Amino acid sequence: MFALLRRYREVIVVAVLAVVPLGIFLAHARHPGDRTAMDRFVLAVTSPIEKGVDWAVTGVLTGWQHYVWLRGVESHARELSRTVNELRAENTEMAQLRAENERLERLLAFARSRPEHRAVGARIVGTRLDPKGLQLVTIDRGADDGVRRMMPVVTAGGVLGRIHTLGTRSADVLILSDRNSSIAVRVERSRARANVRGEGAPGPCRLEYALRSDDLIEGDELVTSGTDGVFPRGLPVGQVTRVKRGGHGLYQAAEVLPAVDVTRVEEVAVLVATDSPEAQPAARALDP
Amino acid sequence: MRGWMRIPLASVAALLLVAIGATATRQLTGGAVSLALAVPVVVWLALETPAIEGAIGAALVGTLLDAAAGGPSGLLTFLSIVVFVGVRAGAGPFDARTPLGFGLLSGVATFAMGLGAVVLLRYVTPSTAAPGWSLLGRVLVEAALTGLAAPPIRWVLDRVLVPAHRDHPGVLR
Repeated sequence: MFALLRRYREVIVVAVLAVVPLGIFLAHARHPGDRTAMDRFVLAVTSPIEKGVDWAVTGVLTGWQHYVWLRGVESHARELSRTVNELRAENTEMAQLRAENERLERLLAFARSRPEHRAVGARIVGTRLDPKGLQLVTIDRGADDGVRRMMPVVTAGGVLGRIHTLGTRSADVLILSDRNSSIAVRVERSRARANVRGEGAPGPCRLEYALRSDDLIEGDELVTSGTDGVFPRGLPVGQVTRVKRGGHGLYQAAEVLPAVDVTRVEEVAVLVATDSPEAQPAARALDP
Repeated sequence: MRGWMRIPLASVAALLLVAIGATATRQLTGGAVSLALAVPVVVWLALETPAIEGAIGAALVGTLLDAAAGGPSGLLTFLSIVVFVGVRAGAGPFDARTPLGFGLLSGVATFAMGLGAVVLLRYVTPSTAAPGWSLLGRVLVEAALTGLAAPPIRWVLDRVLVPAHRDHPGVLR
């Protein structure tokens, strides 16, 4: 018997090595309902071995792909990095365009909410906020666009200033924080009158000529009163942030936070005409 | 080299060749064609090792191919043994140890494995999911490319595994 096995051992080994995998293959391939007890036994015995082999082979192949064969990975990473940088730049540009669009939409909404005024849109092309000189910004609209001296310049947030110097295609705007700027205002809540004057630097302005007896508290909103002959009535100017009422004197003082941050403005509207008599500055309405 | 060393080394070589084949086909053709670089290892085992040692090595290579291919278990193991026996039987009429002969034999073996896989899968799989005969075109290309790549693989295997001495080469010796 052993002599026979020894004599045909090659045939036996080769036959076993061929038949066993074929049996495994057929057992796997058979529909679960058609599997015999032998098939189930073969599957139960071979499944853990298959899992082990599969784990080892998958591990080696993954290791090869991810840790050994890295040809082209560096150039691919460089290309991806360049793409990321391009997309970042594009994203920044899109964000800027979106922000600009939002600002313009607000400005347009502001202009549409006041149909009694006719406005010319303008972009700020220069700023001169030197504390030693005038507080000016330059806009890209001038006399050719219908802009005239002393015309009010506003943003969606409120008053920015007035036209100071005029060119054919540009104009300088004296902003409300300049010391020479004085805007007649009214307290929205109590209708008390006063003037807002600049302090010569971007930032808080001061409230002057507010009668000591006037009702004025911190947080009061100030709007143009229309009595200075420049600004039409009802435009937001700022908010009272600190009231200083001395022990004596005719007036009380206050600090005003402008409704418009002059350092961040990019687009403005010049109010070139006012159609409604109610909205016109009172001084102009009294002209013959 | 002792015979028992050849089996694990042949398995490692087959595994590396599977990885190289997968990478090469992806890099060179994007996966449009495939390579069966482990089949020349089975052919080499059939030509250069004793029957039992070679058959066990071929079965191991087939098991690795089954695991790497993700197909039904046992299919490529069985076909590896079939190829092993077929090569031993068919290598007699010509000198399979030349680069041309080895390449030709590897190509034929690859095609036989592909054809056998299609036939067996068609036999056991429902007709709606069975592989079509049109796959044989791809198998033919795979066989041709594998045949071209086989001579350098043989050169490496001859140096790493070292052929065993066979006094009377035949199917069983």
